[in-house]
Amino acid sequence: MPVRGIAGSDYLKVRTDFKIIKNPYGDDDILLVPAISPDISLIHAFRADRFGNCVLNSALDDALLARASDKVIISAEEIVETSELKSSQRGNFVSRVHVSAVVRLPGGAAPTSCGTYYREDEAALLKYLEAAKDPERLAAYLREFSLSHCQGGI
Amino acid sequence: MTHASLPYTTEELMATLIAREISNGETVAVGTFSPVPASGALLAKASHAPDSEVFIMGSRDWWPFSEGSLEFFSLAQRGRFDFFFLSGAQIDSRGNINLHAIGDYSRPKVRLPGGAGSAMLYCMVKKVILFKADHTVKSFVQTVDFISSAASSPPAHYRPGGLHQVITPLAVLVRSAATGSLELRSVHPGASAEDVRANTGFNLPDYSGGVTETAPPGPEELKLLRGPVRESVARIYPRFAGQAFRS
Repeated sequence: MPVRGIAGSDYLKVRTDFKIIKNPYGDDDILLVPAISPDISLIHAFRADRFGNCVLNSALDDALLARASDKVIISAEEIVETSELKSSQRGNFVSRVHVSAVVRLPGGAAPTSCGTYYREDEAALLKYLEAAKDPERLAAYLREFSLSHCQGGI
Repeated sequence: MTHASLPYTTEELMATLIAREISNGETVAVGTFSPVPASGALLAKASHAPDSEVFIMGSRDWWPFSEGSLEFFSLAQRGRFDFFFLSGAQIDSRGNINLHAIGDYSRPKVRLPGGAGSAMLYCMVKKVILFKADHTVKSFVQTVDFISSAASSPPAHYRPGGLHQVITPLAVLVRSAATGSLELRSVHPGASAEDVRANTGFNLPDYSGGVTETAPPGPEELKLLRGPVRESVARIYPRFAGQAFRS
């Protein structure tokens, strides 16, 4: 993929897969970078239907990620009828064409925020930061967290 | 670095300096972890630049895009941003910045979060302001250990943008068009040119047009910063808003 800029930085020294070519449509040089195609993406949706059609947070790159990945697993706050799936101001509709599996997972974005569903949980984030310093405390945090946050989701 | 004797905080001063650079109608983009630039952009919008477009990553109120950062970076690739703000663990005498690794790249002393979009934005945004929460010999170095964003590009590459100013808690630096090196443009109240040089790890000549004392924030600027700007910034950076502004 062509990208303007970046040349002059040390990334060109450590990323030998970045190439510079003559711009075929101009007289300048232009950088090419390889596309990133994830094998699997896990994406949390606002809503999904049972076929995998879904509405994703439009402030994030989730729709792009869904289109770029080989396999896409969607978790969703709500599973609804197809007729109830619409793009909204903050949501992008993504077709089931891109989706491999759907999981109902209310609270799946916690302790970060999820659109109009819930705000970030600052106390939990600070607790995580503290727990992340030690593997045992982290394991305990994750156990407690999954019990308290994923009501009926798993 | 805040001097208790001054009637404003360092963050209020730096945000004011950023705001003053923005002209009405210009498009201003603010990235992540940038509360001071966000405050500066919102101050400009609330005062002399009401027709400016302001985009702030991570904000619900100032992020109108429906394709996440894809749409944002596409605008940048088209050269549509007048201002962006970068910082770095290291900034060098030429204006290169390092957000990637301290020490040798293959065996770093400290592995930093990485440059993200900065290598591209530094080239494609017309005026990039570098801001730094500390001004020390460790952060202002002769040559950065790793150039994650280059102040200059090979001549064959299209580059419409680059460094506009460096704003620190002590001073404003600019890049000399003649030598390509940073020069001292103005010194903030409470500091001296000697202080700035003693805390800079490279030779810092005076700006060819002369060094001035930075004009401090005026009453109207402080009123807006402590009122509507603080309120708006608190929705993105609640902790910062609680500490950076004086009551």
